[in-house]
Amino acid sequence: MYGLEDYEGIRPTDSSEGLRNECLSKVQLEYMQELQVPASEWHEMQPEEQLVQLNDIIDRYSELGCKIELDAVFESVYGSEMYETYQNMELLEHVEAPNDIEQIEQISDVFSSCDELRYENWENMLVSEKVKAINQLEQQIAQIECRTPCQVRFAEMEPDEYGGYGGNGDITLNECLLENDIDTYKELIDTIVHEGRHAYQDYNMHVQEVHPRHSEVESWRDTWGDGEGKWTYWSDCRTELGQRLYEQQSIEIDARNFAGDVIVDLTKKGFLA
Amino acid sequence: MTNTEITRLLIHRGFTERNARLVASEINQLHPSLIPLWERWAKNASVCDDFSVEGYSIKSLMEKQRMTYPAALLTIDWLLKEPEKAKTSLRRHH
Repeated sequence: MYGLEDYEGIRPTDSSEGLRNECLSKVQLEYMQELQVPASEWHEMQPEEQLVQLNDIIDRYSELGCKIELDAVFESVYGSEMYETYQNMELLEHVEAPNDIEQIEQISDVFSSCDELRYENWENMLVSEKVKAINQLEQQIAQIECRTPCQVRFAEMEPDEYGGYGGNGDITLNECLLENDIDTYKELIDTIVHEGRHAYQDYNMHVQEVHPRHSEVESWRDTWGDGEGKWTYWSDCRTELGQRLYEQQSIEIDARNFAGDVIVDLTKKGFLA
Repeated sequence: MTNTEITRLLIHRGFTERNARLVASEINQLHPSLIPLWERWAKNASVCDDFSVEGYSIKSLMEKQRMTYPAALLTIDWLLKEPEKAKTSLRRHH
């Protein structure tokens, strides 16, 4: 893939050279078309990948400094599928997630209002029903946090592991968290909120910043280091730093405190007596 | 070894610069029982002496949790200094 500097004469053309897509010179058009994705592939892409692609297009458009409107470029260069996604993304751009206190309150309200999640009901549910309920819960949490929901899977793990957020829209938890035991149930709730917060951090750093405090997102990026685009920090961070330093990273502190505050709120509301 | 020397050594052995700096300052505050282990590894990376405490060992942390030798050493250090906190953390999520 080329950079702008590789294209001679790529700067904006005047209107005599151009038109909607004719407003772009041949070279400019070629430069923008590099980011075109066939409709069949576009449908296969994850929403996060689509947003990254659309952001790349917007960056290129900004480089060109065109007078032509971005909408027109999208409509004429990229086809209806990408254009439609871009229009939806425009709506998303104005989204700001509630602040942390409001998120915590809303998440604990979701728990409190869901009868299935009361422990006396939970312990009578089948494993498949529990998995479904946890996935529905994650979808509601994601909605509150204005991010893409994750698929929650349960898998066999070492007895002392609870699970983790693996990026690419998945959370994997230890299947032993589905056992009927009140302390285990509290751990499950803490874990799903904690891992959901990692998904929220990832979304803010790599897809779209919806968190109302930019400085916090920057501090997450600081923990993250130079890696881009994928949730790989855990493998580098923990394996090199050891457990204590890993726990002191801003990403971990934030997720731990957030989940801890949800648990406190739930306890106050009598949900986790 | 100074922090700078440790940082250089860790970078040379594949650590990112940021992580090397963080680890270096912790290495200089290791529990006395662990200092000889660090010194041997610093001289020769293939010498990975084991040490066990609270049901965890350097070897198991390296194998099961894929930690590097210095990371496992620091985790054992935490288990020696604050066993309950460390054990709770090791059981948790990531």
